[in-house]
Amino acid sequence: MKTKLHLSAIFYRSFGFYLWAIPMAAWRALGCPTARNLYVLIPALVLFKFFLQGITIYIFRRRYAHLFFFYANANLSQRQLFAAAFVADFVLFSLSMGIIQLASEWIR
Amino acid sequence: MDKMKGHVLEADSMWLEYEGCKILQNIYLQMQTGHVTGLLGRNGTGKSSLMQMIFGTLRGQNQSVRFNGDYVSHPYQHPGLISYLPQHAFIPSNLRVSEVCRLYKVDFTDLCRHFQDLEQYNLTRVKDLSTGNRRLLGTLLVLLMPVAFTLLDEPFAALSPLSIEQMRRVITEQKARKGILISDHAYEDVLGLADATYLIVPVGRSILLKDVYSELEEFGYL
Repeated sequence: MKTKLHLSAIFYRSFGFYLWAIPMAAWRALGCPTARNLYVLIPALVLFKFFLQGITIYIFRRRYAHLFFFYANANLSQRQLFAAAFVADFVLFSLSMGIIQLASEWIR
Repeated sequence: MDKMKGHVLEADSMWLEYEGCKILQNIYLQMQTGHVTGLLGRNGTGKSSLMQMIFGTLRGQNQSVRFNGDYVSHPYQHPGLISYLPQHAFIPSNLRVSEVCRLYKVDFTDLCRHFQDLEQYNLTRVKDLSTGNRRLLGTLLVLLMPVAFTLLDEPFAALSPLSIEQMRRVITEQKARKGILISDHAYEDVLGLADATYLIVPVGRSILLKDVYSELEEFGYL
């Protein structure tokens, strides 16, 4: 189990930063909305994340398909890898949004 | 998995088509622990595809992989059952050699026992290894993993003659613990190691060779 978690983390690390940073950049480009304005924006950001995750799957399968054998030798399927990575991504995204919201309320 | 007990892995009714083009038809292949099985065939006959189907990462129109007579739908998802060396580099390049060994449950000192030159690369990242050493590392990792069966797709590619000789010794040593399937265009090396050899002939049928060299000539491989 520990090995599988470690491998899932390695897999997520290979694209996780972009998956986290691009929606954050979009949030910043929209003027760093907080409080009520952020609540309105979150569904759009989540949809944008789904879109990015789709692109990630497409790019990984097209360009880095050979790397899946590394994980398969450790008994991990593509589905398991992507599922674990996207769950971790949503947790990080939710934490980021939560911190932004709390910080904005604290500043006020 | 009980390593002392003999195990059998069978691939049966392997059928693969790409866009209506038949690649493999009704293939049967058997591997046993304690045996090396050779797999030969001309370019494009579907050897790699067959290995990936046995491993479970490629789904064909039909396939049946059995372990000791029991059907296994995705063999690679069963811990301790099977490992596979693909033709291309497969280890993420930013990992360190020691980390990859740990993840694959391979003792680095065991790896160095076979190839002493690798000793200096314990903390090296995979991307900083030469192409040959990267291939050597991949092949050794897959071979030394604690599994019952290992599939090697072109294990001698990119290796120097001395390394090939040493790799042959490692395969012979590992055969005592597992069943090994080897496919490589260096057919003499494969035949020298194999206890049984299958030839894939167009269009996608497997033949268990009995009179090896004459049959290889007869079917147009040599």
